[in-house]
Amino acid sequence: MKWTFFHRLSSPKWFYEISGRCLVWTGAAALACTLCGLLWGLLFAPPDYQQGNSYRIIFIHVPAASLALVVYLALAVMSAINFVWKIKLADMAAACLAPIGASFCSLALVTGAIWGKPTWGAWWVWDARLTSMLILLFLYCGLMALRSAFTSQDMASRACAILAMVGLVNIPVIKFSVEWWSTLHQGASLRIVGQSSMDPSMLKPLLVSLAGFYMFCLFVFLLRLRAEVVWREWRTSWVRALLERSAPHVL
Amino acid sequence: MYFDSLGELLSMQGHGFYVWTAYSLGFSVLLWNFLSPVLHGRRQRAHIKRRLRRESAREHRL
Repeated sequence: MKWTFFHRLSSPKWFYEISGRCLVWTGAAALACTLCGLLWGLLFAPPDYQQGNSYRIIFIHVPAASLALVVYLALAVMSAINFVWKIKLADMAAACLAPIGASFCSLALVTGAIWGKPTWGAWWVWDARLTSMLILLFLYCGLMALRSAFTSQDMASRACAILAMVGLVNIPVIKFSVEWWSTLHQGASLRIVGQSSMDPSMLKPLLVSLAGFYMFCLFVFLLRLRAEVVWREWRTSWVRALLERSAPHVL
Repeated sequence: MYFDSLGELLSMQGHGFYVWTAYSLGFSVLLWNFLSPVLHGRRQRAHIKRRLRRESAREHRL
């Protein structure tokens, strides 16, 4: 097997060129799927027989919560790659993933609280799922604060990598909290393996919304990473040449 | 569409406040995620360009 592909993948210049080609398609797919999924869920899906219309929050809450976990996993993988092989693009990726993950984690917590009020009668309960998600938000905030606390880029990336890998322990706790403990939060209604407990009329818009959020996350991640590459590599000849010929509005 | 009128859509049988607040926050987060790297990237590029111009002016003087 040829490993040249992996070596090229770690080159900021190569990444910048490739990501530029798929940026428009990712953005268009994200916009189409997100709008379609959210409008379908909001306007056309039937109400739930127990929760009424408040369940429509699921079309935002579940994709946001799912992304909060997946983004953290990706962040930890990138941190581990940087920690072991010292690949600077992996460190840039980890730095860019933290604010995205934090925003989706906050959205999942706030929409969960809003959904909790009409369903449980409380905005917040110290339930295992909610508490572990709050810990995840603290981890994201901690990672961002830690990175900005160092003046040395190398020290910051090593410290953040260690914290990200330690924080990985929280991911299975979040995932299985509803099974390990008696929680107010419901179990998974969407399963990758096996039958989902949702009716297809609700499941289909949720899947479209999930696809849209994932595409959107990829799109904004590429945007952030491209900006980070330009910022950290601005002394290189290819970035100087790029800046000389690019218009100020180019992403 | 499931709802018969705009009033029904807005009230959502008493759940309108919760649903619309959640969707507004959702759109705000998506918008922030899009605008933040675009605006930040623009500021960074302008900063780098200024710095490059200063450096080239200094080189010319020398």
